[in-house]
Amino acid sequence: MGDVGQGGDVSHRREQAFRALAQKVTPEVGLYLRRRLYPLPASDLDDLVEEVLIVLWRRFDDVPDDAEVAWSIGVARNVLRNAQRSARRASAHVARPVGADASAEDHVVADETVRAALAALSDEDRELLTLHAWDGLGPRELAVTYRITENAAAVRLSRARARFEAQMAEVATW
Amino acid sequence: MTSFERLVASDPSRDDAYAPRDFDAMLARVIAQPYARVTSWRAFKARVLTGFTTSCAVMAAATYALAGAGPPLVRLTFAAAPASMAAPAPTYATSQKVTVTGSGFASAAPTLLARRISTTVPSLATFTVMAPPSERDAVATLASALGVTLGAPRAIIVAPPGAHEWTARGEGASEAFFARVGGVDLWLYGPGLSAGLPSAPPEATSRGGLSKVEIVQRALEIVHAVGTLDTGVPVVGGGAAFVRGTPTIVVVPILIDGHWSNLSDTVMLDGRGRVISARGAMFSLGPPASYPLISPRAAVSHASEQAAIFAHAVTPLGWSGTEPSGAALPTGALRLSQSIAQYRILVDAHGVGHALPIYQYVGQTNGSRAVVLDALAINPRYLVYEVHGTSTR
Repeated sequence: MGDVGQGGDVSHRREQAFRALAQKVTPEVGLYLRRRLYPLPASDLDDLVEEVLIVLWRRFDDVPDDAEVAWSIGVARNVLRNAQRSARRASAHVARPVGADASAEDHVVADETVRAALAALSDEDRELLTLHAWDGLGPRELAVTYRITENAAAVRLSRARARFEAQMAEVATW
Repeated sequence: MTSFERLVASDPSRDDAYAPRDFDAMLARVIAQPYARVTSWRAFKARVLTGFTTSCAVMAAATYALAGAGPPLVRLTFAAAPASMAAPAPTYATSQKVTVTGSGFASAAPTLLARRISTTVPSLATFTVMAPPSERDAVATLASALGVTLGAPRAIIVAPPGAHEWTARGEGASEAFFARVGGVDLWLYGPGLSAGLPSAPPEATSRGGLSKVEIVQRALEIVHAVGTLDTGVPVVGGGAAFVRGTPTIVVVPILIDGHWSNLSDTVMLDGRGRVISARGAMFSLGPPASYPLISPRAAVSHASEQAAIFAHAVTPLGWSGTEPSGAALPTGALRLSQSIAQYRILVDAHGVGHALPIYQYVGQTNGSRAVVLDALAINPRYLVYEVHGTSTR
């Protein structure tokens, strides 16, 4: 993205293009982060979004034209991981934080069966599935988020769905 | 609804939108940043979280409210209660103490947790939740639906309190387990529930039997025979059909006013359609009453009054992401930052359950412990609190 030209108005044109990008991706990035924010406080959400936008601004020329949302969610994923890792590291000497061994999804999914099935999956499967089911990313977008081929993303997604289906059946038993 | 559709429906932000508090200011700050790589822009704002989950144990008595237009609404009186949520259960002669080794009730808490419900509407339906009037009749209905012969009840000495085990003899299983908890009858049927009792012998795997469709139909017949509840689309899992001894598991979700609850009727059948095990809930919902709602922020201001009801050990300071993040909290105070609205069953003083909208908050204390706190989402003018015999409001 962002061949914004040369000359004295480059900065202005870059800024305008970035504003358009930010308008487009911010709602999606915000929802992605909100779904997975726990155990960070909700008051951190805007800060995290802003941090994502800073990365986008810094790497504006790298953002693919046809997959801005998927690429931005990839950035948000890293930003969130760093923030959660920092919070856990900071709290380690005080007390074990809630959710240290659990995913954020464990704390926000109200459907007990779905929650249990998600909890039984690997982190990778869980993340892939929720990106697909909640954030609406298909194989092509997932490929951008994970920096893998579309075919590889489709295969991973298919396998994750199969494992999820199996877990849904499994958790229904006792 | 397929498992995947169920996953989609469980999206905690499904109906939400996100917009920063001040997007223009945010963009201005972002654009003011240099293009060069910034490695540590964000202030270190770690929140030290550890926690406990509060439990609720309530009793309520009903009086009638006089305020408001339209039909009078039941005014609910909540009071602190002992630890047990079990409704009074009939007493049966106990000839043998039975220890439940794997009751399976751990995931069937006596609450209904609908997925996030919208509280943007001015009022929301609440329901009276009623267990069948007679435990014995309920178990007889259950036995009939499952096609088993019922024996005598025995008291269970392990949680949940007030639970009974009924011996039941069928083709594929040998025991039934029954508990009246929180306005709902929970039941469990299957082999090997209790220590020292023989399990059903494993069946040799062989070809032949019912089709998957026929097995699912058999499961639905059982579920419909057990209860009259609104149910969702069954979820089918387990092994392939046509293979005897390979179970098919049919999970039929129970809906509350169209919302998914965390209760379901689950039947595991073998390839011949015989019940290997099953479990579920028995209750009925009274006519809905539409109570005015209050916001999460308003509800939390009443959480102190409800602290004894919900056994909260901390004093809520407020619900907001706008609290000064660096402000010191008073001793024992709690700052809340997220809320989820959900339905939950609370039991009144007469043992009657009510499915009520509740806000569940996540927050932290000044001791940096993470806390989950609950507050009723309905207008407090319809609530009366009784703590140790003292009535307020």
